[in-house]
Amino acid sequence: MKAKYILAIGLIGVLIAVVLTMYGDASSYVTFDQAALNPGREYHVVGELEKDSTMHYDPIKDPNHLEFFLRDSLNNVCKVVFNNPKPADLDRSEKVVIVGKMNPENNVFHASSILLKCPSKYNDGTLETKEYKTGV
Amino acid sequence: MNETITFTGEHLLVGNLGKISIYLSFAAAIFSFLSYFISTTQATGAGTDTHFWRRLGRAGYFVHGTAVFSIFGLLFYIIQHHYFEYQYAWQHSSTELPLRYMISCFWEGQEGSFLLWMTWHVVLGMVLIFTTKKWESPVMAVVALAQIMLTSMLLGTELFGYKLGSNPFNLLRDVMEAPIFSRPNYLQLIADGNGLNPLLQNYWMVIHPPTLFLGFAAAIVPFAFAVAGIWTRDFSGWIKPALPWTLFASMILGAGIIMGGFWAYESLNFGGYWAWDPVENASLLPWLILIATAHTMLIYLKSGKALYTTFLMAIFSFLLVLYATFLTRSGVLGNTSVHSFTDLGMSGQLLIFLFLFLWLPSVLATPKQWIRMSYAVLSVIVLAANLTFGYIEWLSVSFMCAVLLYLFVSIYRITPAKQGAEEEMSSREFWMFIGALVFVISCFHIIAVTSIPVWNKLFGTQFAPAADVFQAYHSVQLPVAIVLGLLIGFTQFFKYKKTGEKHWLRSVLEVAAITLVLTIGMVLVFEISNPLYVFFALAGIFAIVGNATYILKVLKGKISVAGSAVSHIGFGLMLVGVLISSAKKQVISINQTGTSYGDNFDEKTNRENVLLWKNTPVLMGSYEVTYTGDTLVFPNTHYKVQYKGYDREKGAYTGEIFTLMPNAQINPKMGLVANPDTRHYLTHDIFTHVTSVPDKEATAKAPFDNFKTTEMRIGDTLKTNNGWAILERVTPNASDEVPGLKDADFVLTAHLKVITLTDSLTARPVYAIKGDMHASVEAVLQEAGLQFKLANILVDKTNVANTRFVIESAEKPPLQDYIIMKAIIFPYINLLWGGTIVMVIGFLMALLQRYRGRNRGQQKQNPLPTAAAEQPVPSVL
Repeated sequence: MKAKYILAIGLIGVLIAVVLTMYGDASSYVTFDQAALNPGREYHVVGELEKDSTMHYDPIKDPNHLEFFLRDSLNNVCKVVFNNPKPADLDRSEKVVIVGKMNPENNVFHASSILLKCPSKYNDGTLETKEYKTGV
Repeated sequence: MNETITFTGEHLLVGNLGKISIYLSFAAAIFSFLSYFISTTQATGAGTDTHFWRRLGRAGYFVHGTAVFSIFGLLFYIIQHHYFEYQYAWQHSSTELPLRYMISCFWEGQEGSFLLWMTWHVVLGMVLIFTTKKWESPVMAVVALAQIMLTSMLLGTELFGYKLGSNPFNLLRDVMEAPIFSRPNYLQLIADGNGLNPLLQNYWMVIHPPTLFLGFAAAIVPFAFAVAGIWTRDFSGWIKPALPWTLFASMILGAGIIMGGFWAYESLNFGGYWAWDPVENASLLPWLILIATAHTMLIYLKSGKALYTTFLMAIFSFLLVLYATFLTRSGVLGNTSVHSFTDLGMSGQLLIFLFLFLWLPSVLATPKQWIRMSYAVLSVIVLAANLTFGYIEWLSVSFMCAVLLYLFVSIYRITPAKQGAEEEMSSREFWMFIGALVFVISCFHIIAVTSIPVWNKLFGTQFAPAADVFQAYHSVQLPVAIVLGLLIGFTQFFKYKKTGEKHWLRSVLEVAAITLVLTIGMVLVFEISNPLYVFFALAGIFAIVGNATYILKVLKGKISVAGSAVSHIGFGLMLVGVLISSAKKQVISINQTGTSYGDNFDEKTNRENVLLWKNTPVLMGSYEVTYTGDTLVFPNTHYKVQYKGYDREKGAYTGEIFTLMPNAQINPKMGLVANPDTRHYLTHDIFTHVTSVPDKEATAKAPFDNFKTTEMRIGDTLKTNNGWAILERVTPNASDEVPGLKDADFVLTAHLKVITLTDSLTARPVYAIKGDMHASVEAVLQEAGLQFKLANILVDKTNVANTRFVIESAEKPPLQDYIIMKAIIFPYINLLWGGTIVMVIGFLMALLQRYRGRNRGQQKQNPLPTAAAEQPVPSVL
């Protein structure tokens, strides 16, 4: 009988430890300002692509270097560097989630991954029609 | 507003038949459930009636099954015939879709995947009807109840103002608002459907989802048996018939998960087989608990212990299927998963589905009739309050937690404990039980991390998933795997109940010695330095050696009873394969150019893509890699990448040569959808995928400029920025057809040899005359960025050699032909695939062994006397 209770208590202990680990590993959604306060830590920043400012990607010079500007929820704009080829649908994306950390020296956000939310053909139901006219 | 218009070209009959089939299957499921329910509750009363009701239940289920199959067939008919007036066909298929992928349309949409799930339940239900004998009524009542819930997802009707499910036979014009639907001939304007997501157009995606859904569907059987055990108060008799089903579900679900991993590895571009994506995790959760269930069932059958745990495990394995369904289909995952389904407004219905099956075992386990009644009434009130006033968060959450807690308590209270049983450390069941608990820990952790968006919704927090997803999962799952490997290695040497310790110790020490030698060898060969990885390797090898020894020494090579040991060897091989292929995976496409980005950022990880100019070789690892061109196989572009083995030290080719064809679909709607290509060797794989390509279409569309008119004689050279052009000769054409000018009097073709920096090409502009009209056809060389037009011919009648040809040349930047690609070497990944196959075979062997045992051991006594005679079957109604 004793072993049963020891096991039960042990299991509960491990489960609590697991929850604490999860709590410790979880990141959080922040703005660029908050990410800058803690430069060593990786954060999620949700924002929109600054379409007016230039996106820089010159694959011939360096295929692993993409620069663009992102506007976060507080309307702060920050330069983002992503050391990977440019995601093909970045230009079309409405919302961008970047994961990475701030470089305090030059205030550039170094993204380790990018999540794009695009108006997808396969998810929403925007209607695509073609009209055929006669007598062209 | 549509009523007044008569639409032309629609095929409404098939859709109406489909809708009728859905309603029929729903009604028949309810009928079957009620009949089986009555049959079960009357089981203790007059025996004659139960047969009558059972037969009705069967009849209802057959009608339901027939209706479900006809829904499946009709929907397929619509897709196959491209009836785009139906929203499902329009959204998930297109005319160019090959027949073999039409079946994949079923699991691109939510409705189709529910249908697939239901269809498997129908098939499994038929098997259950014919094999479960006395368990048929309660088990089938549970299955029929699940079918009611699943069919309701397809109803698409309004009930008291609530939309129930989403009907796959809805017409496009009823679902969508658009001006074209006011035209009677709107169907002629819809040229094509949306098409199937290119990622699903892969043969693995044809067989992987049905396998996975069969596993999901089979998970209901142990659940239904456990509920039946509680319901009929036969607490122990259900385990024996349920065990083969548990093994079956584990085997199929395991195979489905592995196929998913293999599909990801073969055709997704993240460079691996497992990404801890929520959708992947969702399929893993029930699998872990199913395996734990099989183990605790064995413990009970052999020693009479762990009955309570077995009940909980069997119940939760199916609840996790439902939770996984909720997680991936309710839209709650939002930003965190790339491939979850979008919300169809069914999250409420999915929650009720989950809640009903959480509630069911607890209400049946309540012994007193009046408590049961008030519990049921209370639950209905909570549900009604939620439906009337909208989702009441605090009420629902606290009620759900209370029900969850009560489930644990109520089952604990009715489960008979084995009297005077003392846990014996030197018994097999003790360590198997520990193993089952480790599975629970593993599962709990994956739920906790994957459900972060759910916690945010429940508690109003703002957590994001871990920035380093792999680290977040591995911090717990790696130690879990190590513990499991070690447990698997030595537990088999114990006997059930009690083992002589000396005997056990000798066997395990032998195994440990061999393991240690092998591990040291492996650590040295593969230069593994991370201590956690060393333990991981040790655990895997220990599991393999332990179980191989067990088969040889204890079972004396009797393979017919070695199912579990074979499975365990498979698991050990998997661990070793996972370790080597991930820890020693090597990205060879390290870029050498580019600028530095500062010291705090890891340089190496940021340079994993290389740009390859066409026909320009680049050294990568021990290969000389050349991109030699592309071919269009609609809708994909295949890029030819040639690998030549090269020994850097000797400075010579090794003679190894092969070509990989990674492909990419430059989809205007989805961007670049890239599929990798992999060269498989026994000891390693070379994985290659294209990460970016220049937009050739945009370059091709760019206009020419820098127009220049030159008069040339034969042999003259024309210099442009992009290259030189030599007019070699001008020849008359055999054909007198020139675009824009019919029946020309004569047609001439100029032959210009064009020499660029990298290439030598020929341009052939054409010139035609008819009477006083003339026409020219330009020759366009996109790859050189040049265009030539033969605009006029100035004939010198006195000296033919002096005849001048007026060439109009134009330039633009030449087409850039390059690819950006990534190449990864995965060493010994075949150990992983081999291990998983061995594990599945082990499950199959164990399943066959239990199946044979089922027929042989009919007379054997159950460890516990059944309590069926003493307690009446509760009736909820």
